[in-house]
Amino acid sequence: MSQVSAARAQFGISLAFHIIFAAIGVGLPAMMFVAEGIGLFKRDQDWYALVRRWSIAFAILYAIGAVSGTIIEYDLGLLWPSFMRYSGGIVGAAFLMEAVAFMLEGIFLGIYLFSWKRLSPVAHWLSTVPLAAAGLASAEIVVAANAWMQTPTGFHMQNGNLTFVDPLGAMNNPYTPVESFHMSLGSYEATAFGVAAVYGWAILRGRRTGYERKGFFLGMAIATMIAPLQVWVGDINAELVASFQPIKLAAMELVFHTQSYAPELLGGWPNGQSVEFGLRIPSLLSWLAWHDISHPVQGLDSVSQFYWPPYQYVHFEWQLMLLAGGAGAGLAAFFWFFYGLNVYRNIRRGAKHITENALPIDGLVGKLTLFGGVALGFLTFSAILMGWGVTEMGRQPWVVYNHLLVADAVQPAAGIPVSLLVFVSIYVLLGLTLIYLLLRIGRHTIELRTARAMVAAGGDEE
Amino acid sequence: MIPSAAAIHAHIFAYINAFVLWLNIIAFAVFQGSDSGAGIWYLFASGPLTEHQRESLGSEIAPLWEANETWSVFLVTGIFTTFPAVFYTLVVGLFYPLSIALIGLVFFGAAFEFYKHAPPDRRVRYVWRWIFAIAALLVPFFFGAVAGAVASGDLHYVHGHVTSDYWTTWTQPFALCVGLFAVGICMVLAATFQTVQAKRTNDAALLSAFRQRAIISGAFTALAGAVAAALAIFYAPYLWSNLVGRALPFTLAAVLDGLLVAAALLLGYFRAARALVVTEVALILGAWGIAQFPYFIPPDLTIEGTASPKPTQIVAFVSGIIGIFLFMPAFYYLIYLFQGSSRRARVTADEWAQHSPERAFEWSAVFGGVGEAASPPPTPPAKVKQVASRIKTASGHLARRTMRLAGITAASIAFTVGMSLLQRYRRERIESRERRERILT
Repeated sequence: MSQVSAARAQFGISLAFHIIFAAIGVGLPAMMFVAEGIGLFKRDQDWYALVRRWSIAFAILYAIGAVSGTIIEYDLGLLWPSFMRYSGGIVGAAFLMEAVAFMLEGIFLGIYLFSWKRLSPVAHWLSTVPLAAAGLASAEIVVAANAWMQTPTGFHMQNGNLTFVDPLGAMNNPYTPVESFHMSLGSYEATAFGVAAVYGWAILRGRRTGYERKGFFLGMAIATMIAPLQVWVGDINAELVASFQPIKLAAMELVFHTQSYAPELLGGWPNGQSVEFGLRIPSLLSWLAWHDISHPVQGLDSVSQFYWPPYQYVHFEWQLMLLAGGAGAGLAAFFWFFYGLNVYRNIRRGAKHITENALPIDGLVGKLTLFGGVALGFLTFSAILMGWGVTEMGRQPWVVYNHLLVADAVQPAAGIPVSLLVFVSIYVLLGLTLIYLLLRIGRHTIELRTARAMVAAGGDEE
Repeated sequence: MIPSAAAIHAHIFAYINAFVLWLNIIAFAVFQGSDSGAGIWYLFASGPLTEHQRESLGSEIAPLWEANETWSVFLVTGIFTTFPAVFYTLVVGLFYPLSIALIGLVFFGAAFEFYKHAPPDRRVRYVWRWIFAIAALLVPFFFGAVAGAVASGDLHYVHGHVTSDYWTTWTQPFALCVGLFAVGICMVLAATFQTVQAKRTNDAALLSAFRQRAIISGAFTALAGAVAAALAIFYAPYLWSNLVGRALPFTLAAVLDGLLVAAALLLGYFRAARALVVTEVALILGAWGIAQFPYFIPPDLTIEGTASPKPTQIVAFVSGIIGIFLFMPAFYYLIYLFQGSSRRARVTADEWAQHSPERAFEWSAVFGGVGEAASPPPTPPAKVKQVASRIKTASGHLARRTMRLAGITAASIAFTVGMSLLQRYRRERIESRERRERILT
């Protein structure tokens, strides 16, 4: 295995591993804020029990997120030293700011997890605010650095010397606002669907107490409110790709030849330079990308084959992301329609609690909602991976788009394949232990339904 | 050799940032070092109190390690932002030790958390505990070796390429000795911190155990330091000549401070010993920094020659300052909360969660649905009753406090809006005055 492909594999695997935990690190504190807030003001044990269990799981998840994030920061240099030497002076400050947010996150996580027996209820609840804010900030800032790799601005390079640099301008490149918004919405959506999946699965297996219902409801409510928004932001993002990285768009949509009235391709896979199967919707791509069905969409053949991204993968990842986005929006409509219907029925009946049994978890509709929640839990997390794959694989062979090639940025010291092997084993080991521990926490605390029982059993801390 | 005042003035932000980075190295050494030291004492815990020692060490680092792991991330991001070529030289020339140190950092955090959450009676717990302790040993050793390699002056960067060997720079005796020295310092730090902890909890057995360990590891550290200094004469001549030259006051102070640490421990002034051992780390790293000024990595990379452009330096400096103002109070609060006195709120979050009624609020009340008399709550046992009455009085207090908080928030929002309106008004007044001047001329 060559140095370059090993380095790409190691960095890709590291980020794929990290991005899951990063998304949870952004999303779960926000959900804790909501759930603990409800528990605090309604004085409801179920909500506290939910938060309590999440915080145990989050302690482990965040720890893995923190160490894998540390790997990323080091690997930027250890794998791509020339890239960091090139871009450190331009956009490195973004990573520095991200480290500040990371620090704040670590501090407030320590406060949050270990102060159940020290802080007042309100103070403890409020400690999720800086936790969630710092998580969001670190995601936004680090995505700004990534956006710079796609649309590098804010500097001028002459014969390898930096003659002009504007670090804030580099961070505020054309992609930044949309890409970071897309990423943070994706984190919230995926985490919320993940929570819904856990409790949806529990309900499907017959545990239907208030605890599971509340967990499922909160996950679904947050996720389905974000899902339509996410589709809209994703569309804006794709429009930006069309104007700034036309070759990436061509790889996403398998447009081999520049054409007007370009069709939108759903499904299908490339065979040589033609597409097999797949549904084509005439002119839709031109319209989506340029709002004009006669606008030409640049094809892969407009540049030499050396500059083609690995379009097979990019197209597949793009399709899976579309599927997740569409399914999320669809489930949102389905869920709220039947929820509203149940509420309406309760009002008509003059029921005591109008939201009582309003959660659509009974009958065929309930089965569909629950299975939908479980499926979306997996689908949205894979959509995060896939979206990231589209962004980074679609940028190949560049590391800084149109400025620096990946092959020129790699570590000269030999032994990256060995390093790849070592790190892959580390990830396998960490991943397996993590799954074992999370399952055990889930099983072990099933009996401890209420916060009272959980506190009596001794929680995570001290 | 030393740059002139004019040269420093021209690159003032680069020099300031280099100084801040050096402070960052000190913070990294103290905080990550004490965490790693706790892990090393995990490995070397012995005697009848073995498990008790480990418990105490674990509870000390549990709330802190995630925040402390960030110090090295600051270092990495800070260097590649402000001194990209230095970073390039480090990650290329010292690729192997840095990779191993990184693996150590990863296993240190992950294994600690796994071990803490693993079922107490399973083998998996023991496996992760040993991984944690060994990782804790790797981190300071390899970062120490990196520091030794940098100080030795064997790392070369010529015309954009690292020309030195990838192995020998850090496998030479001097660098390895600095690695051992770093391990020793971490052990002293952790043991001294533990004595303060044990003193506070009045745990005499633990106190004497860690006092003994602090002194023994201190002696080991002094020995390793002396050997490293002797080796420096041959392996790091530039460093050595300046350590006994312009950095001599710092060198002597470090030696003296080491003796004072030992004296404070022997005499039982544990808080003083903690302050002195932190000062010791600062003095050692300070002496090193002054000895190799103006080089970041002698002999090719100076602060001035490798600094990124001024706008980047300014942005890095400002974001660093803002960052410090943001996280320092929070970091202090974290340490205060867990290492200070056993302070707790009158009603803790746990009590609130435990003794809350099953249902207190109904949407039906909002929509005017038909209500029923609420079923009487289950009679709580006597002790719960007692706590419940306490909560009742406290909840009134809480409500008042919440109101006060809301009042303060509203007032501050009003203040902000008012100030910005005022600002705008003043700006417009100035602009209109300028417009007038323009028109008149």
